[in-house]
Order: sequence, then structure tokens, then C-alpha cells
Amino acid sequence: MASLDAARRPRYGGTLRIDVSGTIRSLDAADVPSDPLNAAMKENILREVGPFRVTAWEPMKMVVLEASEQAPGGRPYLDRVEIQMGRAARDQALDFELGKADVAELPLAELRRAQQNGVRVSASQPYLVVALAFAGSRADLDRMRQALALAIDRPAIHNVLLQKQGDISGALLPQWLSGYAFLFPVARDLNTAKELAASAAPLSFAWDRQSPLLRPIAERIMVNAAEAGITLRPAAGPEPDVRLAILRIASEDPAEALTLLGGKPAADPLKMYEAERELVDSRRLVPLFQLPVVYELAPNVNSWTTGATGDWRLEDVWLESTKP
Amino acid sequence: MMFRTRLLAVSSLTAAGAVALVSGVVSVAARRAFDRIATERRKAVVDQFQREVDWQYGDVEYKVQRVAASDAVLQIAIEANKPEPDFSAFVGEARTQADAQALEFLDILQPDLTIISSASEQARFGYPSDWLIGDVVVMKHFLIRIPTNVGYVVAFAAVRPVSVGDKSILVVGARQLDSGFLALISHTSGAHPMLWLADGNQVVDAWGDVGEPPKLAALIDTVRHTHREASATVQWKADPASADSVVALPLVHGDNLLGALLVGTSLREQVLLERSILWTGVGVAGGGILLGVLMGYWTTLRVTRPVAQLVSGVQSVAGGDWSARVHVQSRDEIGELAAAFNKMTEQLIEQRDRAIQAERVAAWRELARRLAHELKNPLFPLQITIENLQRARAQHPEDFDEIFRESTTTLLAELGNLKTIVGQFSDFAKMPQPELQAVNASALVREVLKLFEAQFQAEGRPRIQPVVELAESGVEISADPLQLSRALRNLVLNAMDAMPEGGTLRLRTESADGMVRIEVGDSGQGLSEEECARLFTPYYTTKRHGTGLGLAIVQSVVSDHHGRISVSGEPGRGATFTIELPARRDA
Repeated sequence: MASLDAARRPRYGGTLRIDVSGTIRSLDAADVPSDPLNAAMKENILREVGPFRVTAWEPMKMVVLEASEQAPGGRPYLDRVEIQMGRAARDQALDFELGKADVAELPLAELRRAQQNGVRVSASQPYLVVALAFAGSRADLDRMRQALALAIDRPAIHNVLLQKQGDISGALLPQWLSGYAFLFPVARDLNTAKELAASAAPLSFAWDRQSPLLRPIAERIMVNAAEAGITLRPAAGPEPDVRLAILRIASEDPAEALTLLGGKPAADPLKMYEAERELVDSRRLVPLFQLPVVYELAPNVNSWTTGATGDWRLEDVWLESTKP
Repeated sequence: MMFRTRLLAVSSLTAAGAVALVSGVVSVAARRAFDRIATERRKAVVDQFQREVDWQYGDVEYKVQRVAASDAVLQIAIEANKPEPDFSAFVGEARTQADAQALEFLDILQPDLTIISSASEQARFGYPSDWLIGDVVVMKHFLIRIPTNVGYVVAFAAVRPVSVGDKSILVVGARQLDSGFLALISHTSGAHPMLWLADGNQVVDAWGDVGEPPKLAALIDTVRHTHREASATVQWKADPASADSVVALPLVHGDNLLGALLVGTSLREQVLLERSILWTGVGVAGGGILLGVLMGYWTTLRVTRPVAQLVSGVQSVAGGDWSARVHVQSRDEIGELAAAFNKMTEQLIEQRDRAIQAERVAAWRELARRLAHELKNPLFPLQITIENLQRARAQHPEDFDEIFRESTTTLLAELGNLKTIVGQFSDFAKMPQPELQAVNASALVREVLKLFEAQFQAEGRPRIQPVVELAESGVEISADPLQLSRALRNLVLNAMDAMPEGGTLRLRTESADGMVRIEVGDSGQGLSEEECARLFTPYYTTKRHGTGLGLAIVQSVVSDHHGRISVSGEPGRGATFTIELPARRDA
């Protein structure tokens, strides 16, 4: 047991290599995106540099952090952190398999397979909101928003495509954060959807074609919509009728998170509910799911944790020596 | 048309017809051979297509079998047998397997054809398959219609059930019958395959969408209505060498026509070969016809040369040259004809000589007879008169002087007759050559007419009414006025003799075709046809007292003036003598 304890004792040194699909937008915790709909998952927020200092920065490509010996809380375990940005899912998987990355994002569809293969994974709290955002001046836009919301078979998507990760939700703020998310309806009503969408013109539909998460969800939504008589035509234009987007919950404080999403400030849960309802209606949103971000971890990575809003806690991470 | 021309035309037409017939037969035979080759080639292409189809089916079957035997599909089958199966972990399995097996379409289905996993439409899990599967799940392979984002496609498909426990799942894989497959057929067969899809009514080939060519519409309609193989020749451009022989092979799934494979085999080589043969045939035919014409011309010359010689000989004979001979060396019918011609001319000459001799003898006999007759008439009175004188001298001396005076008067008169007769014969024998000078025929006729006016109007003579129609111009001739006047006088006298009871004397001159015509006609008793023919024969006369030399003299004068004389008439309708003399050129 003594030897085991010694082996599990945190050790200093080493370089942690992380692959992410998006970018590290800012090292400033206060700098959050002004338009949460457009931020999506392209930006990872390193909330605090903490005991590290930036030694190299190539925008959109690479960030290198090195341990600071003069950090107020003491030197971190890791000597160095190398973050590769803009890596496609396939490249991340290859880097991880080839040992070029110690931490990489894992698509939710691959979660079960990875677990079956004994890969260590770490999932954050669900802080990414997958939602449909309607825009434009069509007269029947609200009716079509309602029809499409009723046409989508959320459980099927959640069970199959999302591998039961995250939560089904009709709200923007997650249940774990607001406590009232269950009040937003999520049930499917195909007949009502058909009635609402009767003889409606097709809707142009867009999503981030580079996102391995959004593509299968979007395709399934089109299948569900077609069943209800709603034609969604994939469009590449800048102003589609409907866009499948990801919103980020940027604060562990529900009121602040709602405000950051564009809602009115509210003090108590009831006001917050009303504010969120108003936000959803005013922005013509159809929230679908709250999803976590899942990372696959190399065996030598220890103490990898993420905050409730997905921020990394690199000061706790240490690398186990692979040599005996 | 000349015989030579006709013979040349016949021989040329015969040669041309023979060459055209041979060319036609060769052309038809060549076309049939080409059609047979095209049919065999088409069959080979169809067989090649069938082999490719069989290979595709076999490959799809093999790969579907590989998928069905995979561990992942086995896990899905096991899951399907659980009370509450959860296929969520397998939603991407079809795509993984399809990628591994290089299948374009792969669906893993529950027995009720609900999609567990779909390679091409991953989002359709839980939905029933919309492939046109129907009741063919028991078949090993089949054609299938699959909806895609860009419309329906036709694919080679195979299905395999995977059974674990009570429930089984189905693995359905398919490979699109697309441009790649068409390119494969095109590469292996050299054909131009196209695919017509009933859904969308579009035609694609190995290079992509070719729309719906109107030229294929009829063929496609035939297949659409009959669901059977059909073929047609499609000419894509104005050049016939652009034509394809297109076979349409229906792609049928049950009673549904999914489309048709249009396999076009180029007729370019055939058309070019046919064209080459055609032009060669035209060249050979043209050469043959030209050669035939030349040979025909040469043959015609050979054949017609003796005929032409014969014609020339005949024309010479017709022109009076009876000594003409034809020199033909051949021993054929033409040679015999030439020999016969030569013999005929020899016989004609002999006959002519004999006729001349006979005519000469006859003339002498006629002359003798006429002389005897003419001389006998005055001799008889002379003899009687002399005998009367002798008798009177012996029996009646007292009346001798009176009888002598009367008898000598008679003797002198008869001697005068004898002198006249001898003078006429002498004139006929001594007809001088004419001394030609410019003479107006109408004026000459008027002068002659004046000589007879007194006789026409003489009392006690039958009255003769002259009718004169004389041209005022164009009747200038070169003539000896004395001889021609004598000839006209003879004709007028002849006419007066022909009208003993009186009548009408017609005198007429005219100019026509470079000749001056002088007509002297009477209203007398006319002439028979035989008389007309013999009238100008010397010593021939229709009169009781005549020497028969008058018209002979006329004919002699006219002939000496390079003219001709003819007579026409019918018994009872008078006679007309017509003298035709060359008009004077400087007139």
C-alpha cells in the first residue's frame, strides 16, 4: 500500500498537451462573448492563468503556458501546457491515439465506444445549450417555431446521437443551475405540429457544418420535421430562417448566466423564469439540450477537472510518470 | 437517232445497268453483313453488361455477407432479442461497416424494416426504411430504388438476415448503378452506356448528367410501355457517323420499371466503312461505266464502220454512182451484207447497161418506125402520083399536061412534108449549147404569149382564153432566151393541141426557194399517170400526127439550163407543165 500511495502522489514536471476544436478566445475571465449565439463552441475560455504564464501564442493555432515559480499559491505541478487549437475531431482522435495529445475532446457519439475501449473520460457539467434560433421576417415564423419545437423527437436524439449525455431541456439555463428548467415543455406532439405546419413554405436551415456534434442533430431534426410536413432546406447563407446553434452558460450564477445570455436581470427564481421565458420568445429560440463537454484523458493525466461552466483547472493537473 | 448512237446508248446502258446491279448487290450484301456484325456486337455488349451486373450483384452479396457476419452486427442482433432493445450504441455502425466494405448504401433493419442504423441516412434511425424493398427480402439480390438528397437512384442490392434467438435483423447493402458503373462498362466493352432513371426522367452517362436527349425519347417510351428490351439507331449529329446503335435494357423491380440501361455502340466505324465501300463502289461503278462506254464506243465503231460504209455506198448509188463498192473484210453478217451490196451494185450496173442497150435499141426501133411512118406517109402519095403520071402518059396523053401539073404540085407538097420531117429530126439532133444571159421569165412568157394572141382570137378556131399570173420580181434567171422561148412555144402549142375544143391556157411564174417556176397549164383532156411518166421520152406522142420530139426538145432545153421539168394532170382535168430553173443570184 505504501508503494501505491507513493505512486499516486502528485508529482511535479511534465508537459500537458491538449487538443481543442475551437480557440482560446481570451485569458481574461471577464471577457465573454457579446453574442452568445455566435460564440458557440469555437471558444474555450481559460478562466484564469493562475500559476502559469503565457510564453507562446499563435492566434487560432497554439498557446504555450509555462509554470510560474513565483505564483502566489505556489508552483503548479506541470512545467508546461501546450494547447493546440482548431483541431478537427478526427485529428484530435489521431493525436490522442498516437500519444501526441494527453487531453482531447471526445464527440458524444464516440463516448460509449471509448468507454467500452477503457478510455478515461471526463465530462463537464452540461453548460452548452443546443437550440434552434429563428430569424427573419416571415409572417408564420412563430407558428413554425412552435410546430418545429413540437415535431422534434428529443429523446431519440438524446438517447442515440448524444448517447444520453447531458439533458433534454426546453430552457436555456440548465436544471442544475436554475431549478425550473422542467417547466419548459419538451414533449413531442406530431399531430399538432402537422396542423401548425400545414401548407407552410420550406424553411432555410443552417448549422455549423464543421461541428461533428451539430451535423447529426441537424439531420435528425430535418427527418423529424419532414415527418411533420415541415421542409427544412439546408442553406449556407448568412441569414437562414432557422439556425441550429450552441449557447454557452458563462456563469455559475444563474442570474448572471441569464444576463450574459441576454435576459433581463432578475433576483428571484420566479422573476428569472419570466425573464428566461421572455428571452426565449423574444429571441425566437427553441432550446433542445444542455450538453457537457467530454474529454478523453491519457492514462498519465491526473486531477483533470473542469468548472461548472467548462473552464479548466490546470493548476491541479499533474502527470504520472510512465516510466517505472 | 443514228444506229451508231443507238448502239452506243444500248451498250452504255447495258454496261451501266450491269455495274449498277453488281454494285447494288454488293452494297446490299455488305449492309446485311454489317447489320449482322452490329447485331453480334450489340449482343456481345449486352452479354458484357450482364456479366458486369452479375459481378456487381456477386460483389454486393459478398460484402453484405461480410457485414452480416461481423461482430458488430451480431451484437445488434443480440440486442434485438432483448426485451427492451437499445440500439443507440449502434447508430453509426452501418456507416462504419459501409466504409469498411466500400458499400455506398448499407442499412441494418429490424424485421419490420425499421432502421437501426443507416450508412447513408444516419439520422433516420427508428424510421421505417423508404427503400423499395417490399417483398424481396427473401431474394439474394435485386435492383432497388433508393431515395437520396438529390433524388432517387437505382442500385444493385443484396439482403442478408442475421438471426440470433427468436428475432432476426436484416442487413441490406447496395451499390449505386451510377456513372462509375457506366464508366466500367464503357471501359470494358467500348460501348457508350447511359442510364435512364424513371424517377426524374433523366439520362446520365459515364461523364454525368446528359439531361433527356430527345433523340432517345422514342426508345425510352418503348421501354417504359413494354418493360422489354428494345433497340434503335440514334443519330446524335447531322453526320451519320455520329450514330449509335442503342439497346435499352429495362431495369425492373417486380412490376416497377426503375429505369433502363441504354447501351450505345458506335456505328462510326461501320458507317465509315459503309461510306468507304459506297465511294469505292461509286468509283468502281463510275470507272466500270466509263470503261463500258468506251468499250461500247469502240465496239460500236467496229460494228458500225462497215454499216457506215454500206450506208455511204447506198448513198453513192442513190446519188447515181453505181460503181460504189463497200470494202468490208469481216466474214460475219455485215461482211455478207457488204458482199451482197457489192454484188447488187454490179447487177444494177449490168441491168442498167442492158436497159440502156435495150432502150437504145428500142429508141432506134422507134426512130426507125417513126421515120418509116413519117416517110411512108409522103412516099405513098409520091408513088401514087408518079404512077398516075405514068398511067396518064400512057392512057390519057391529052390530059397529061393537066395531070402533070397537078401531080407535080402534089409531089412538091409531099416533098415539102418530107423536108419538114427531116428538118425536125435534124433540129433535135443539132440542139446547140445555150448562150446564157439575164432573162426575166415573166417577160419571156409575155413575149411568147404575144406570138399566139392572134391564134387565140382567130375566127374559125376554137377559142382559147389565156390566164396569166406572172410575178413582177424575183424571176430573173440565166437562160438562152431563144431556146427557152422555143421550149415555151412548144409547151403552148402542146397545150393548144390538147384543147381542140378550146379552153383555158394558164401561164404562171413565181419564185420560191431560189428557183423560178414557170407553169403552162391547159384545161384539155388531161393525161394518165403512165402518159405523164413517158411524156418526155423522145418520139413518144399522144397525138395522131406528131414526131414525139417537141417535149423531148423542151426537156433538153430545160436540162441544158440546169433545171427540171415535170408534168401533172389527170384524165379530163387538163395538164400542167412546170419548169423550174435556178434563179439568177445577182438578181
